[in-house]
Amino acid sequence: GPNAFSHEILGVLGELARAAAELPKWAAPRPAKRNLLTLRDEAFVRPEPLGLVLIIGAWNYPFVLVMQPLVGAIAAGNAVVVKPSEVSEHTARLIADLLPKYLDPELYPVVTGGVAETTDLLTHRFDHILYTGSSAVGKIVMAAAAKHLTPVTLELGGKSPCYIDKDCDLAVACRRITWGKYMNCGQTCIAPDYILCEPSIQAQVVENIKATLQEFYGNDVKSSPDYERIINKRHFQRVLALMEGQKIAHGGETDEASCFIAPTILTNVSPDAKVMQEEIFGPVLPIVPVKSVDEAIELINSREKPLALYVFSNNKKLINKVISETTSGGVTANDVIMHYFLSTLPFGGVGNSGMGAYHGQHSFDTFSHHRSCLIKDLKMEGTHALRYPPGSQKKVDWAKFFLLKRFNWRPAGLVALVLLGIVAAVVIKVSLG
Amino acid sequence: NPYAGLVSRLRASWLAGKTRPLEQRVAQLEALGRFLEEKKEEILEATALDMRKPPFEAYFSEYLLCKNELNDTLNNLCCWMKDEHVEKNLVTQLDSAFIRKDPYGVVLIIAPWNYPIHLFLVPLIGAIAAGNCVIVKPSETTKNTEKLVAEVLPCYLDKDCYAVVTAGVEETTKLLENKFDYIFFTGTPSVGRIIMTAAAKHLTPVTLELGGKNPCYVSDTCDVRNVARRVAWGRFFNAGQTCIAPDYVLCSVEMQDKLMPALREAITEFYGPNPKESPDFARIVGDKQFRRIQALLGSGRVAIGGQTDERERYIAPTVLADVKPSDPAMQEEIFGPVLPIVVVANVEEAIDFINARPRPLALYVFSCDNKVVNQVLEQTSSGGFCGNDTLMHVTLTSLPFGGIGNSGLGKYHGRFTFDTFTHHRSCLHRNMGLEAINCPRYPPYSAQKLGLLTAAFEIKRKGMCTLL
Repeated sequence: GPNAFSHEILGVLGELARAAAELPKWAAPRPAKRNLLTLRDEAFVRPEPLGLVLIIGAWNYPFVLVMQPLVGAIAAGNAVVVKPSEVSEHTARLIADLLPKYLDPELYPVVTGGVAETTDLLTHRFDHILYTGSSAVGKIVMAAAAKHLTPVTLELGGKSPCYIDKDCDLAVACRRITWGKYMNCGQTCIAPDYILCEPSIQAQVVENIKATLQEFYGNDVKSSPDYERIINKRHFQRVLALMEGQKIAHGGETDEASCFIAPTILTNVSPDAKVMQEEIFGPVLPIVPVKSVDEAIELINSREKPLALYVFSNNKKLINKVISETTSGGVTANDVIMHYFLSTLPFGGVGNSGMGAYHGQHSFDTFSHHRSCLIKDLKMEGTHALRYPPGSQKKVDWAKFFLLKRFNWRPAGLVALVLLGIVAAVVIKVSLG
Repeated sequence: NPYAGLVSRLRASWLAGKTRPLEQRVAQLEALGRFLEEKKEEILEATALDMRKPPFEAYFSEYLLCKNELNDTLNNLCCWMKDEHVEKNLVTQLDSAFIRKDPYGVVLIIAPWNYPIHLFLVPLIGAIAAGNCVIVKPSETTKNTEKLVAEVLPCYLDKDCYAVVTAGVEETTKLLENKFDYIFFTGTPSVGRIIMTAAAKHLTPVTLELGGKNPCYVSDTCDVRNVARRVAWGRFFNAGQTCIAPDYVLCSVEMQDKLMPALREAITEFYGPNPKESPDFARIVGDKQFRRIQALLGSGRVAIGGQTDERERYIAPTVLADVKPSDPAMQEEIFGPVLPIVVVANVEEAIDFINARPRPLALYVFSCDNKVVNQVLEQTSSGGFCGNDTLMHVTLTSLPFGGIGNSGLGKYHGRFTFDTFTHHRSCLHRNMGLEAINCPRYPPYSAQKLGLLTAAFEIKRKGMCTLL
């Protein structure tokens, strides 16, 4: 319904509009700063297509996760093979049926299939592969790419931590967290995976989230048209198992027949618990109590680098501290998910959560080869004589003068440089004339 | 795993945040500068012992260009490290949106033997500037330089954060079993594959600076004398052992006839009548490489040079004429002072020839006619491109240096080295107030809310939304 439209389609429309508007700017040669020796030459970086790109999508946002990269790949001038996730089979079939009606299937074919077909696809040579999915499969994709020296962009996952400071508007924070956590039934790569907060506010956090859940989905979540389901039985069982042995402060109801898991909150969760060992990717929110922000930072740093990191606080210094003392793919402070929607921010992971980034111009740059070009004159051989053998101390001194960057001495330096340039040119001409 | 201890020691330093502060990075970079200044003579000596690298060449590539990169970095580090604020959309107008430059953590730099100082030092400058801990593995082929770097460099840098590892093939394989946060490799495509495969096990991002056969097209309209000098300089620098050297020439049969005497003249001008006696001509680095290049001399016919001396690992500056695409010299990257000339009918044939082969690291075109230069530029693909000269495009630190396809992935030099070793982390710092603005995104969903969202998010095809 409206959820899918806003999450899947709006984003793509925005990317398309931006690409259409800015493509001439993105694709234009980018001039490079020259040194004394190359002042008379043309130096620029030329964005060029890489060639053939492979885009492998995921099932949680099956449309946008192939379409958004596709926009960038086409904008950069590539041919593209689109491989939507077979798990979201209806969307995969839709894309396979519709895309060839709008795009030349010789240049932008859609390939459907499961593990076997994808493995076969990966034996072929591509000029770039963008994969969205799990870290485990990300390793397989990169190993396959290594055989052809193919660059990759891997949009993976992990456990995105969410630290809530004592000093913050808990009602607002919890509403925003509830939105990000339970949208798409928790099946979002940048959902806040778990909460870190001091024990003194844990109960309040639970109450606020409960109140928001009521606001969003009403008394009977199961009958709300706005609450999704787990994608399939396998994932249903997986998420169910994570709740075992945990203290359920809210929710916990399930219905296997419809793959329904109620919005669930777990409290006093230990960092060693099973639910803290893998990305949850479901509507289960553990709260791990920590004594201080330092303990939170230490816990975060002891784990794999997450795709997203969230921190809520009225204290700007605390937010800066958390950002500065950790690392993650991206960060949103005082909200969740939102950094994804600003296309001027590169979207991607780091470490186990991925490599490379895209969105907006970053997609164009990802799918382009930035070719350095220096176009010189066949004349002016005089200045070149300095570098030819036989070597001499005099030549060494001249080489230092022309090439060596010195410490900054602007703005008077610029004037001096121009004057020196003129003097040097004259001297060389005279000495060779 | 013999290196586990070292890697975890460096990782502990990283987690303690030792390499993050600007002052620390500047101090280490300045120490690198002192290493270059104080050990200049030792560097020239070691490279001379390893491969008879002419002092002039060593000074240029191992000292001058490194100093350049160092100064460029020291001048601009403060600016490069700053948070980069980005343009915001309607919804984020009141927020702070920026890209934070995060170090990766513990990075590994593996360097080759042909420019043994330069090819670890320039990446090292960027890695330190970006705030990482670094392990450097210099090439085991250039023994004297390896010894110098292993014994002397650690004295200049913080031993808790930066280390030099000496290792052959087997030990390097073990080193690669460890998890690194970035791997920077310069070398051959076949080893590049091995590195990337090892990196895949840990999801470690990589930059691979590889190689290939760099074509050099010489059109019929050109100043033959200048072309010959520039091509000869690029080919025979470091006795041809340069990843971006012009590997082979493509030209018409008429141009081949004109080029030959001009090349002969240039070689004599550079190295004298007997290049073996010139102090400005290097030697091949090892016996294995010597024999490999010697075997290529049977291609086409030897028009200039061709003399070899196995004792000294000397191969004369050589030009081979009428080389056929099937000849041995055209099957692998030459990496030696041998320049084959392959005759083509015209520029179109040259372009087809180039495009039928793996994408090279560099591509050269010589022509007085700009149209020809542009035609080749637009109809081919390569890591980098230089019109009317060789090698020089990599001396400009504002141009990113890297390959494509078989010739590599990633890029560096100047700011690009800093960016290579930096994770560009998107940060959005939102306002806790104005919660009302967020309402359209919350359930229960409705068509009205969707309308508001669409209005807020959508970028129209021509121009932005008119609000604000």
